[in-house]
Amino acid sequence: MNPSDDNYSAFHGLWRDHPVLVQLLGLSPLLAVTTTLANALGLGLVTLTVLLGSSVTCSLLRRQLNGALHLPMLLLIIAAWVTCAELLVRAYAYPLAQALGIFLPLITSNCIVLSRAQTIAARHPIGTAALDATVIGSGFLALLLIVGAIRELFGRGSLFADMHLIFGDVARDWLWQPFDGDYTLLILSMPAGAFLLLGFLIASKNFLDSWLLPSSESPPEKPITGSKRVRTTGKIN
Amino acid sequence: MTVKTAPNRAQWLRLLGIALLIGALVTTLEMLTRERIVASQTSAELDYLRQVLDPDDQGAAITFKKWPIVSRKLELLGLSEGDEMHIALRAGQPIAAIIPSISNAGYGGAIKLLVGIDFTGHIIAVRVISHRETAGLGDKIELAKSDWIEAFSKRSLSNPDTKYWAVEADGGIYDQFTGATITPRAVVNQVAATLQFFADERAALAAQITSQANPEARE
Repeated sequence: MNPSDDNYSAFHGLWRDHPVLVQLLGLSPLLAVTTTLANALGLGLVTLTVLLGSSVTCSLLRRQLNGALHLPMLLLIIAAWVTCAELLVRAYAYPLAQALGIFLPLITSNCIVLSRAQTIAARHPIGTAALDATVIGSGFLALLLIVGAIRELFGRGSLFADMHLIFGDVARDWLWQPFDGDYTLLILSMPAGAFLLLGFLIASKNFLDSWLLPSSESPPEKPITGSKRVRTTGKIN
Repeated sequence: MTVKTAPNRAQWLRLLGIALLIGALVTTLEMLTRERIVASQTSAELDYLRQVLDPDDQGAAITFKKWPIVSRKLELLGLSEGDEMHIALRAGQPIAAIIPSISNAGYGGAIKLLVGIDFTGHIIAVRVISHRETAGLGDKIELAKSDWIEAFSKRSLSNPDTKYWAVEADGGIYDQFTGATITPRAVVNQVAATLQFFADERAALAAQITSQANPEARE
């Protein structure tokens, strides 16, 4: 989790230390808005932007962001970015703002953003912070898209519905409806189904890990010092 | 890493500085985007109202006017104090009333409807704004799931006769869905109540609107 550890690589955020699949952060927006691919894409892009913006800002101000008050300062910076993002979405993509509802301002409380600001951005130069934010944000966006696509396809029988919320009127006829709404897995359109799906995705990741890296070749079992709580699933040591 | 000492004055000042800086930036952006956000909101509200109008009546020639609902009728429509309807006007002449109406007889709480009725008392369109009916059964009242809701188009209190304003299970003409009678019954009865409300108010409404829209006509 710390670039000075030889364990750290910015790209671990895509798989090994994925913010959702491994750290189980950012679950509430993930479960709540991913009923369609369009909503997932909208929330993922805004989160990525906020993450990048707040990480760069925190990195620029990192000499000021220490001491007992660093947490309120980080939260202020994140909340400012979220407010700006919300204003811009409302101004230029108002229907998307309506579709995402409360989960747009709630990005402030997404622990992925705060944890990256605190552990990486507030301690490292701007390049490291920007790369880390881009990778983590893309990992989150990718998972949102996977969950959104599966839920929309099997929960509603469609794909690319409501894409005009993001891409404008040209996207109105992107809708693909391979099967009738009567033959869908209803549970996938509800939060409980999203939770089950996420569980299966985490299990698949752990299975792939143990299959791709047989125990003889698995990384040395050295304890991840001082950062146990950042791993919630998989090998915790 | 984690500093356990109490914050000193310099740190409080730094926090204050960051807060002021951020406040100024966010305020600036708010001022820059305000006009656009208001425009987006207005256009979203217009789209909301236009969904229960005839597709031919969509241009800028149609204007909308907020109109109060007499308080003794609010209960019939499931509304609360302060809720309003809209009147659609073409060249100052009222062409339709757009009335919000809420049924509490659904299976999962309030079903919010928006009903567009023309001034001859015929329904233009009904749309479900929000509901919590069972997914896969009751949610066929949404246009996105089924075209059932279109069955109300062109209906009025005399077409069908009031006693047939019910779902088939109750001797009426409106389909219910397999496995769900409560939801369509709630919607049908609420639409009928809304038509009744409009029939009672229409004459007074038309007179008031015309005299207000053309004040010179009274001179």
